[in-house]
Formats: sequence, structure tokens, C-alpha cells
Amino acid sequence: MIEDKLLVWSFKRGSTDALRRIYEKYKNDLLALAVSLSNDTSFAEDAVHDVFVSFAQLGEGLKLRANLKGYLLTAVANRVCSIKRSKYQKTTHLEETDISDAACDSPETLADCAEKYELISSALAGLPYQQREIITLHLQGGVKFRTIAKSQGVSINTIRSRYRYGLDKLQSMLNGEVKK
Amino acid sequence: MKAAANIEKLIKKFYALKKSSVATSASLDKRVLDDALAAYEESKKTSSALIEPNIWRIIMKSKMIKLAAAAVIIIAVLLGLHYFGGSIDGASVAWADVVKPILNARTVIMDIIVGSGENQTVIHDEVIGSRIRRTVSNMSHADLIIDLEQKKLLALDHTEKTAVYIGLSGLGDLKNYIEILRGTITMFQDKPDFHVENKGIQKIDGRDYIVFVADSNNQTITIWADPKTALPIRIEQKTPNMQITGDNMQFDVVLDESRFSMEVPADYQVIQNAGIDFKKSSESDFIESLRIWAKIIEDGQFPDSINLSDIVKVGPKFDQGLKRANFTQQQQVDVATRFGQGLVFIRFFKGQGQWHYAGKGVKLGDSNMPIFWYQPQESQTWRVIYGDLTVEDANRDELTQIEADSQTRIAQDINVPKPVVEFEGRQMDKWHVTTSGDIRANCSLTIVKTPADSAKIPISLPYSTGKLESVKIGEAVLSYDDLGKGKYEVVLPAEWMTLNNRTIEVVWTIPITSLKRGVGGFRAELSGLIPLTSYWLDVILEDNCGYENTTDTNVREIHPFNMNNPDQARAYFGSCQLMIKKSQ
Repeated sequence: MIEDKLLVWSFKRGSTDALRRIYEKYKNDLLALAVSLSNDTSFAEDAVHDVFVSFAQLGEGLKLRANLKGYLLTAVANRVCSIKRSKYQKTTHLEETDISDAACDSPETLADCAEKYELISSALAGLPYQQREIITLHLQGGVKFRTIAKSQGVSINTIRSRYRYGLDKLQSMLNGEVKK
Repeated sequence: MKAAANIEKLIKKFYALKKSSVATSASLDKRVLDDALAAYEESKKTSSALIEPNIWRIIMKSKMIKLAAAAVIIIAVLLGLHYFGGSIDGASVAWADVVKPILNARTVIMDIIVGSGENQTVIHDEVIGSRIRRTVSNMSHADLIIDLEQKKLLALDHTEKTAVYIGLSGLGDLKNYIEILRGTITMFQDKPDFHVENKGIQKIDGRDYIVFVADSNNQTITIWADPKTALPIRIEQKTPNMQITGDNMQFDVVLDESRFSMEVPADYQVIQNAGIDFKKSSESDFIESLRIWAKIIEDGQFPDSINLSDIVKVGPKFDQGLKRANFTQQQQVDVATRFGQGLVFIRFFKGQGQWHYAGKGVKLGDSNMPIFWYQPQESQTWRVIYGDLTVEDANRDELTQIEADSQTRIAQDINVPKPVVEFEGRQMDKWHVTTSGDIRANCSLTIVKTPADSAKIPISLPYSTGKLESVKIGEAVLSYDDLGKGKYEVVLPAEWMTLNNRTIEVVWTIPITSLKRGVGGFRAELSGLIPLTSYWLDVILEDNCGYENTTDTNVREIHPFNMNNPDQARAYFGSCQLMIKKSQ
């Protein structure tokens, strides 16, 4: 957190190194969030690009109300939402993603993981966007409900409700299908 | 059915797995960084004015400048006290009693206040022989030890544990305040027109004091003394142009001599040496001080006056003003030193008669306005400094005219007070890029402050080549006068002050090609029609307008800027990038 404060401080004072370091530090988090919300890598890359260029444009005028990571993640979420609203995304499709991971290292485990992964992806894709956005921001990005509420201009209770409804829906969709 | 906590855990695990498989590509990194860095550099050009205060706040944390600025004020005070003088004769016994401690004391503690009125800067002095330990109320973090024999000043910053020596070369017989006071009293008493009056007992803070007023040749010294011990508690010196008060005076108090050492304490770091040569008293140095005062301290305007009391008070304003500057640390020290050096000219004025200052209300660069004039020694003409800091010689007739004009200006200042309230509002703009290649700006301006008796509202378009198309309030069309260069005066309806809704709809146009080109698009000037507390800008690409979003051709509406500052209305907010380009 201290490092972020220093980065923001330097960024606001014109340090291009700080801008680069902010990007390097959070680029994968931002992209992962955008991919989760859009299910489209090229769409997600555009969102990350737009957000970061807009962030850079703010320069010295940057005013952070949340922490840097939360700020950037909610900006990406807003950007994804904004593009969706402009009906850019003509089709929704799940991206095939390589999930070869330490947790799925044997052929059997890999197959099992892939199956679960597909189920959860489908379930998430079936959620209303508002609910998916909050679940993704909170559980993937670690963004606090308070920060999400501020960024969306709604009350924290609304955010909590949407989150809870989303989880309930996921629970009913996944019930009995995902083995523990 | 799984518990909610299990679902959360599962989704978290899913996201962690997914996240580990997502990484930006080298090409994306390049695309993002190239564009972001270009946008960042562009933003620096347009918003530097807005960030200067922040820059300066950091710079002012510089150890050097704090002490340099402090030292300038101290030097100014030193000069002012040194310059002040007067004279007397024919003492009564009681008068002699009260001046005796002043004439004989070895140590003194007192507060010195330059000028009159409330909230004056207080200089606290402890004096032992030729050394003074001084603190100033508006710079409490620093102590200054002045050695009048060595003509050297040591400034100690206790917050930063730093020290700076400042040479005071060129001064002749440098005295502390009490020595000056002694000299003044002695000279005062020798004057043939000296007159002293016992004003009897007066109360200060519930205590009784005997008051003596001595005057001679337009100078007055008033002393308040304890009626039992005859020890002075307050001494006030007045001339027509200056007032200095020594207050809370204590004489022959035992002081710790180690506190007056000119050695830097062991845990302090000497960071800067600077110096002012008091023999060097030149017009050009003074002009430099005026430039610094107007440009840095007063943000482009000359000060109302440049008397000693103004110099003493200038410290905090100097700090604030320097916040707007953008110097290196060394330049900051140079500025502070040059400012002090130039003041020598007026504090040790060597010309004939008195100097005159008339810079009140004059902006730096105004070549028509004389701001200062004086007559050099052995000269038949006067030197006149103008608002652009050029200097011309003037003969007696020309000077008479200058003085008359100056008096007229002063009278006008008194007779025509500036309006306190100006128009202020909130504005939301929608700039449509139309099929004709124009920007058609639909501005919704809600006016929240209106000066009394206003019949017209002046508005300025962001572009001098912009053209006002219409102004409406509701369905009613308002007429307007074209003042040229994008400025207009809109005639307000007669019932304006009684309207509940004071929102006017303004439409103006400009060819999009008139906008400056920027990285990946155009630059938009962000300027309110009037001073604003909030401003919102949306840009809409109309169908078939021939332009598209640079980053996403499907996005037709962008929101490049908004600001909200209820505390301070402003009319200009810099510029921002519109990420739009000609359609492929």
C-alpha cells in the first residue's frame, strides 16, 4: 500500500517510471478482470488499453478516492460495462483458456479441473452482468464493496444485495454439478 | 446445497486459477505503454499550471528554501530596525527613570511588532551584548542567531535539524533594536524641540502603567512603565510612515549564553551558505526585488505597498507565491537572496528626499503605469520605474504629471469599489460532431450567483473563433451582443432575479478542424462560459459524421472530462484529449 502511495505520488509529479511501474504491477490483474467480465481476450485488452490511457491522461489531476488497485479495477469494470452498453459486444462466447496450473498437474486432475472450470464459467456467464461484475471485482480483484458502491454511485447495501443474489444464483446453478 | 461460504471459496479458487492463466502479451504492453506515455506527456503540457501548487508544496519542504525565505524576512526586519531612528532633549526626572534601564541594560527580552493592527508578525528577541536569538511568529520552526559584530546570521531549522549561515557583509555599525532605541532616545533628548508629557496611569491587561509620550520632529516615542519599578514594559516608536513596538520587555534577565552560540549544534547539518552585501544598493537589484514581489509573491500584480510592515508580513505569502513557481532548489535560494538584496535599495535609500511607490493595482508588464520614482543624489531628474520594470528619466514637469495621475488612480480606487459578486454557475456540455464537420456544443448553464442589478451576462466561448448560435431560457430566446473573439453579452430577461430556474441553454459551433491535434485525436479546450463550480463534457459522434473513436470505432459517445469544486469557481480548466479521428 505504501508502495502504491509512492507510485501515485511520483506519477502525479510527472514520473514516467512510476506510470510504467503501475502498469507492470497491475496489468495482469486488470486483464484477468476484463477477461472475466467480457469472456473475450481482445475485448479485454482493449478495455485495459483504454483505461490505462485514460489514467495516464489524468496525470497530475489524478484524485484517488480508493486505493490504486481498486481504482484501476473498478475503472476496467466500468469500461467493460460502458462498451457493453454501447452494444459493441455483438456475441458472447466463452474464451478457451489454458488452465494448466500447478493445482491441475496430472492428466486426471487436469480433466477434472477443466470440467469444473467450464461449469463455473458457464454459471458465471449466466449471471446478470451487474451481479457478475460485483462478484468478479470482489472475489477476483479483492475490491471492497464500499469502493464498488462509490464507483457505481449506489449504496453499499445495493452492492451487498446484488452480490448475495449473484452467489445464490450461482449456488443454485452449480448445486449438484460441481463436486467438491 | 452448498453453503454460501463454500460458493465464495469455490469462485475465488476459480478466479485464482483463471488469473494465473491470463497475462498481457508483449504487443499489448507496447500498445498500452506507447499510448499511455504519449497521453501522459500531453497531459503534462496542458495541466502544469494546475499542479504548480503541489509541486511547490514539495519544493517548500526543501530545507534550504525554508531557511532562505526565513532569512530574507529576518534581514528585512534587521534592515528596518536599523533604518528607524529619531531624537530628543530636556528630560524630566521620571522620564530619565524609565529610559535608564533601556540605556544601561546588558540583556533584554522582548517582542517586536512592526506596523499596527491585529495579526501582525511578532518577532521575539533575546538580546545579550551583540548577539540576538530571534524567532518570528510566522516561522516558528526556525531560530535565528545574529552576531552583530561578526555580521553573520545562523538560521537553525529545528524540524529538519539543518542550519544555514548568511553573511551580512557591507553593513557599517550594525545594532540591535535596543541599541537603536538607546541611540534614538539619546538623540531625541538632544533635540531643541523635544517635548515629553506624562500621561499618567493607564491600564494594560488589568495592570497599571505610567505612560510617557515624547515627541520631536514628526516622531513619537511612547513608553509604558511599571509605576513602582520604573521599568518599561512597552515602547512604541512612530513616524508618519512606520510604527515599531517593543512589548513584554524584560531587562537584565539572566540568559544562557550557550543559546547565543554561532556554532552549529552537533546533530544539525549545514546545508547552504548565502549572503547579502549591504554595500550593494542598486536600482537594478531593487527592480529585481520588485519583479520577484510581483511575479512570485503577488502572482503577477505589484503589492499595495512596500513598507517595512509589508516586508515583515511577506513570509507566508512568499511561501504561497513560491508554490506557483517551478525552480530548482538552487534557484529558489537565489530568488530568496536576490529579493533580500534588492530591498537594501529602499531600506538604505541613498537618493534625495524620499522614494515613492504607486504599484497598488498595477499588473506586472503594464508599461503605461509608473510604480516607483525617486531622485538620485546630485541629479536634476527623477528615475521612474514602470509596470513593465523599464526605467525612464523624468524632469520636474513630467514628474508632476506622474504624481497627479497617481493621485487620480488612488482616488478612483477609493470611489469605485470592485464588484464583490461575479456570475458563477454549473455547466453541462454535449459537443456533437455533426455531419457537416462541425462541433455543435449544446451547453446547459445553470447560474447560481448573479451580481446585483445585472441586466447582461458576459460569456466567453472556449474558442475565439467559435460562433454563438442561440441562447434560450426555456422556450424564450435571449438576445446577445457580439463583442468579438468569442465573447458575447447576453441580455437577461427582466424577471431574471425572480426566476426559480436560472438555466440557460447556449449553442455554439466551431469546425472540428479548428481544434488542435493531439496524440490519437484532438485537444479540447475546457473553458466555462462563465466561472464555474462544476463542469461536465460529453462528446457525441453523430451518425455519418465522418469521425470515429480512436480506440473503439463502435463507441459513439465519450465522456472526456468533468470537474466539481464547489469551493472555488473557475473559468478555465486546461484542455483534454478527445480520442476521435477521421473514419477510415
